[in-house]
Amino acid sequence: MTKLLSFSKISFKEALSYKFEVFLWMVAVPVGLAVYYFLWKSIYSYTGQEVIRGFTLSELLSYFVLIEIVAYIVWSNADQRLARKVYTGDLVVPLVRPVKIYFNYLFHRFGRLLFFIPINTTIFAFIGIYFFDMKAASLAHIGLFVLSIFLSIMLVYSFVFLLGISAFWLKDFTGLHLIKQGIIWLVGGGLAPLVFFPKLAQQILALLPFQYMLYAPAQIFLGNFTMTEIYQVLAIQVIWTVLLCVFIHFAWKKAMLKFSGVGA
Amino acid sequence: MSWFNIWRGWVKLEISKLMAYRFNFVLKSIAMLIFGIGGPLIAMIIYNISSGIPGWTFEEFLLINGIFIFIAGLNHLLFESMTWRIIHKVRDGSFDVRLVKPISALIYATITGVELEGLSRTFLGGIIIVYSLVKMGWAFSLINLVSFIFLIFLAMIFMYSIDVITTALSFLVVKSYALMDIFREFTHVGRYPITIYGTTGMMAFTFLFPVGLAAFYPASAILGKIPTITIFYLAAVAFAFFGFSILLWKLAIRKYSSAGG
Repeated sequence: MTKLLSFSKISFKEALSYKFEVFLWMVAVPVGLAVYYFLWKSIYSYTGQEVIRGFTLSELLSYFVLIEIVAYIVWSNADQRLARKVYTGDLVVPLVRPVKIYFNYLFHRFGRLLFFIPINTTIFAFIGIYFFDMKAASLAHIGLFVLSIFLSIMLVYSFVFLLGISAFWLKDFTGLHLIKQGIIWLVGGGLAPLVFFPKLAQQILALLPFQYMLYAPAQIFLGNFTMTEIYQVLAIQVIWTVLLCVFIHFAWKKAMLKFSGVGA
Repeated sequence: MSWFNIWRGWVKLEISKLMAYRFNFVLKSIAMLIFGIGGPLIAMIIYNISSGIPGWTFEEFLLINGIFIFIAGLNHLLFESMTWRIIHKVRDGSFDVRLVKPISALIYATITGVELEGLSRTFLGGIIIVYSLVKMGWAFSLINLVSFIFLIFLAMIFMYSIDVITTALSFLVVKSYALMDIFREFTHVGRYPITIYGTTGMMAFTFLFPVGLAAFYPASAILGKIPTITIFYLAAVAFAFFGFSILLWKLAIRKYSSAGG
């Protein structure tokens, strides 16, 4: 454990040098939220309904704030890091360490989160509470939301890591990395709550892991799931993560047979 | 060597890169389509669950989205990569090489900004524009079509100016790629009808930060919703914004210290 925590410590120290980047991010994201505000305000007032598909305007805007918070926390670039190491041949260095590379990058991410979570959550919580009257359904929902975010970190990380392994076979990984980002955003609930999608699309998406990455934690916070549904979501998050870890195990074995350590 | 020859040489290089990494090009193009498809998808969602946006039918809203995707794609195809290339060079200090070339650094950056991955998004935007016009039963009008093409040109001037401003700021804020995200967020303001931002917003996004040019005004022009005189005002605004971006570039490049690594 001490070995793993040392990755987190280094990562936290690295993050401290990105203060200005963080500030710039904090300028960019509220612009996107402001666009959502004007767009949906106009739609609600033109439609003349207070509630659309179970969301009041204030709840919908809170949803978008929560999506930003969750996306920021669960985001991972482990795939890019892994791909870079494969292309340069530098992967041999983490391979000789007494820690599995999966945990190496995971704990590196935890270190970053120690830096980003307090800043990110404070700013977005302020925007959500002050401008959009954002509130959790109950204290228990906040606890379950936190648990769900943790499971979502594991789920997204495992998914991203598995994709990163494809770098052993691909000449350039950037295309797949971009596809991953687009898909998670589009069908993970970043575009709009999934209950806004047609029924058939919702049924198909329920079979995939993406809605458990962003959408589900946000819905838990807002109290739009019953307790039974929440426990189901948490169980599905665990199942998907375990399943992805099994895939990672086999894919990694294949990848190691392919890896030569030669790079540019 | 003329600018055109440099541009042609660069495009040839891009094509060879594409041929070497064909599968990655396909993947990147798919990624661009996925990002682009968000526009029509949100249009379908909005008009499926509500009455939509005041003053805009589903097809008209789709048209605005299509134009935005088309413009963003064209900008990606022709210019946008100059931003991250220069930010990278400023960061590691290798921008010096650009300064010793016998051509203006801005012109060189512009003509080597081509990135073929932008093709798929441009194509998608074009399809959405044609689809929405056919679906709404658009009646051909030469004056509206010419106005539309001219406003597309102004939209490109606006997008190019944004690219120039982003790169100019990278001389002042050396350590940041986040600048690109900030300006991307700001330009996304224009992917919806700017009427949703109220009168003040409309004025601001027409005269101060003319992001309305990115989709709203070209769409209004082809639908015959704006008088000809407005197009002249918009041209003046677009060129003024372009002038501002060039001025900022000239001022900012003086701050380039060549210290990187």
